[in-house]
Amino acid sequence: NDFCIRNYILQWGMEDTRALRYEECYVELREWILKLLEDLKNELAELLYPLFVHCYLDLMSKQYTAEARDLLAHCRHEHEPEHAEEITCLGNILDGSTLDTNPIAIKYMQTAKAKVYLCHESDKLLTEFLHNRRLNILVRLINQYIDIIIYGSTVHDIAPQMRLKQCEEADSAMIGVKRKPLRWAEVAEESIVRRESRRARAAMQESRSNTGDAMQESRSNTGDAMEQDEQEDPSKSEAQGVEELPQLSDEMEARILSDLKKRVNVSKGALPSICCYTLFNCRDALTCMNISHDASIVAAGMSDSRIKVWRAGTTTERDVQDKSAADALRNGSPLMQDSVLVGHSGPIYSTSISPDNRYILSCSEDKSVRLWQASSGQNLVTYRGHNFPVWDVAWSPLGHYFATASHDRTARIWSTDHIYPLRILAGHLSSVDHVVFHPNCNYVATGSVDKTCRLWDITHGECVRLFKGHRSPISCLAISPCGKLLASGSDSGELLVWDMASSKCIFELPGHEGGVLSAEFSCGEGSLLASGGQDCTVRLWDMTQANQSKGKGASLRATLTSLQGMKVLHTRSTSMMTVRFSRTNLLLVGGS
Amino acid sequence: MSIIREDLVQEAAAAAGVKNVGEKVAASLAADAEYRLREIIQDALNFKRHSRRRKLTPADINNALRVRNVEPLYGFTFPEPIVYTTKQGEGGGSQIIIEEKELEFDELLSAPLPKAPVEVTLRAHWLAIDGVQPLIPENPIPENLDVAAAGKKRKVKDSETSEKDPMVQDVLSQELQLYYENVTSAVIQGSPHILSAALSSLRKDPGLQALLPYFAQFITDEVKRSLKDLPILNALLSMTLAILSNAQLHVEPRLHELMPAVMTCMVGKQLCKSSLDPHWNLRDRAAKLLNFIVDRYAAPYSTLQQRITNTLLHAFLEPTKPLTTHYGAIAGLAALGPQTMNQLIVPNAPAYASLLQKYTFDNHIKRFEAIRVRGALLDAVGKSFTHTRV
Repeated sequence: NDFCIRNYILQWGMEDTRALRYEECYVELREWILKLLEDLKNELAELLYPLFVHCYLDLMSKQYTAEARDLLAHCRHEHEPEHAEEITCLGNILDGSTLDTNPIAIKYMQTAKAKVYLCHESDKLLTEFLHNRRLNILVRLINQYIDIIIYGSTVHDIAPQMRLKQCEEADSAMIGVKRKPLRWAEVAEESIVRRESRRARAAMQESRSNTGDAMQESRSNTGDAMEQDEQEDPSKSEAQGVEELPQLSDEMEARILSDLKKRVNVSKGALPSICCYTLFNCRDALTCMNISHDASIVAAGMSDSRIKVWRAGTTTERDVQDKSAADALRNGSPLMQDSVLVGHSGPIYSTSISPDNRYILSCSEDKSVRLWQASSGQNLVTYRGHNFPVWDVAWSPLGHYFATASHDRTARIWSTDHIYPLRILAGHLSSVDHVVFHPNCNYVATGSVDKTCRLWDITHGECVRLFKGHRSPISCLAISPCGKLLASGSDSGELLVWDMASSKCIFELPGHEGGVLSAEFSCGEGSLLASGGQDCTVRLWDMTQANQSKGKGASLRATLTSLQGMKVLHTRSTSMMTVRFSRTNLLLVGGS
Repeated sequence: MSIIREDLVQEAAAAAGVKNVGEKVAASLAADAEYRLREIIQDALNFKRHSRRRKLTPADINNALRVRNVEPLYGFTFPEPIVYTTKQGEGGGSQIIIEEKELEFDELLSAPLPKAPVEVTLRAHWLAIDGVQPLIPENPIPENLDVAAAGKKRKVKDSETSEKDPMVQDVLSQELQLYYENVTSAVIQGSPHILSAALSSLRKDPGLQALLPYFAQFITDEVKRSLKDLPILNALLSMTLAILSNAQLHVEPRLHELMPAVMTCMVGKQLCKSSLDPHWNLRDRAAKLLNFIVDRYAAPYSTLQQRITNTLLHAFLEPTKPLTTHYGAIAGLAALGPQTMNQLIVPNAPAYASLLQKYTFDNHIKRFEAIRVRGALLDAVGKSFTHTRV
């Protein structure tokens, strides 16, 4: 292997020792890597962190303390989401003499070489690049401290076992790492229930009669239990994140409550009913589809930049949900087409219907996001800010705020009354494909082409968790109603469930052939996960195990388990673009 | 490693008017060009993923180019897929060529506007009720899925037709009933214009599977009933041919019902009111259709050809049968191919020819018939000879 890096050490033995070159070299390499093609970039990016650490340690050991501190200050933000603990520890090094006592320094310089897996192609490119740019410092560091393992000639040669091994290694390196705790604020639904139960209890005490109906009683019981919980766990109530949460209208609250009363508990034993919406005659023109939480609105984005909106039944009927869907089914009549939203000038890539069904957001290839009034079909606001096509848009669970994901490698948080973004979430190495709000409104999760998912804190706009382990770009995301599990599907049909607190993959759900286009947890306890894919199936997965294990932190250390699908439902030839649980736990699916 | 070769770069440079591109320059340019190409393809795939499609389209490539601030390529967004053909070049490399049809400008201008596309519609159905899939037409049939899962994935077309089979027992939809009425009336009393429209519909329309048993029954009954009505028999034969040539129809289960009708049209004693009518043509056409059927179905049904041959040979070797029947039998056997002719007609030809001699002294109708039969016989024997010699 003539091109092997190791041979260059002789040739380029003489080294440029000017201290400044360290940072320059590192930044040059980083810039180069970020411009590479996706697959190669993801591989080579693994090299950056160990190199960064070694540059820093090398500078320290050579007594260039100021330069080392500069390097750390300038570049630490890139690695913080993944290696926060280590970086803080590195920051504690005062000068070269204390290197021997720092655990991280010992780990990197003495214990073992860091392992990086590369394919032959990327190895060759790297060698050529280092050679052409004369980045001798990096060549020396790579030779000395990093073990490059070549697994095949191209990226696609990687065997799945190898991938698993890499993940395990990464995991074992992470053991003992403490992270910032996440704030488990109350989910909107819970707060409504709690307020209602208080009201009910007050009413009951007033009348001093115990003849209230069973429903209220049970509700107040749950309310009691919840308050006991709060007393036991004081951290829970104090952890409110976003201060100015939008208030839901009374009408909206009443609707949620009435839905809650009708909610059916679904689980392994009691499977949900599924209503399937199929679009006909659209010949690949359908790019995205969305169904509102009460099944009253269906919005379909087309590649010809129109959005078609269908409405079910009459809007005055409040319990539209079951009735209208059932009626439409009984008559076999198509849903009423309500309006066509015209305004975008490129394919629509995502739509989102606000929780109160009054507004629709859409994003498109034309770089803009538009807000539409659902009842009239008018375009109210156009949000411009992204410089590249916008892939995804998502309302916050309470409305008012929304998040977008774009090809410009950022996700952004917006509020409907500002035409500029409030937060820009930058950190993904490639285009950000999907975005979803955490039910407690403190976080958003994003998925990207760089095969990772990230969790972002909205208040500070920083990345707090990184989920690594997918083998292909992320194609859908879902967060459980309790807010502790994240499900992510990928283009190659993988479906993984992550524990959010430890950012570990806890379940692997094999079965889909072809991309997983959408996934969602059931409402309430979140005991089911539904996913729809390009293989024209809807699959249901039992999540009770995951829900049980999330309580005990220790069991999460257990290895990744793979769950078999509980139920597979085929359609004739409808590839499932959207999967949605209504608040009463009716599963709504749609596609073309 | 690189896909773009250096000589290609040199050629492209020469075409652009830059001469003397050195090898090193060409090599680095080739690497760069390939990198750009891969980048564009990668972006285009991204656009494809977000459109939730399985196929990459020229529009995706154009979007990817636009993202990179490059002028899109115009003229590649066809409504139908582009057909590529590969040709071996001189240097051993292969070339990929897009076949382009030449269109007459006048024709294009005078052509009627294409049909407006069908409006997109939304329909809802229950995929599952409490986790159980109801058996309604919108949902796939479970057995088919099991078979599909066990074996390899079948083509969509196949599964569609097999899915429709169980629906034969169902009540026919009103549209299908109307269609049946129209087609049958066109065959029996339609003008040539309507008949040809009906036949072309039969040849091409998908979704007629449910009607197939009814059509088969109709053909059998009608052939029996109108044995002496030449135009109807002709129309029925055309109808059989149309059904058989419809690629979407799964005719095999009904073939045994259609065969007797075809055979009757070939060897029937009298197929017209007066013996002067051109019933010979009908027999010839039936023979051709027989040839078509044998070609298509002989492989899966090994006994098919044998049974046909036996019937025809029986008709041919029976001297008491009328000459018209003999004619049909000879035509049919001839249509079955040179091997059959060699084995069955040629050995019997001399004896039969002497039999024919008798008829030449009969009345003029018989004589005329005998001449026809003789012509057919000579034709068959001649064909078989030319074939064996070649």
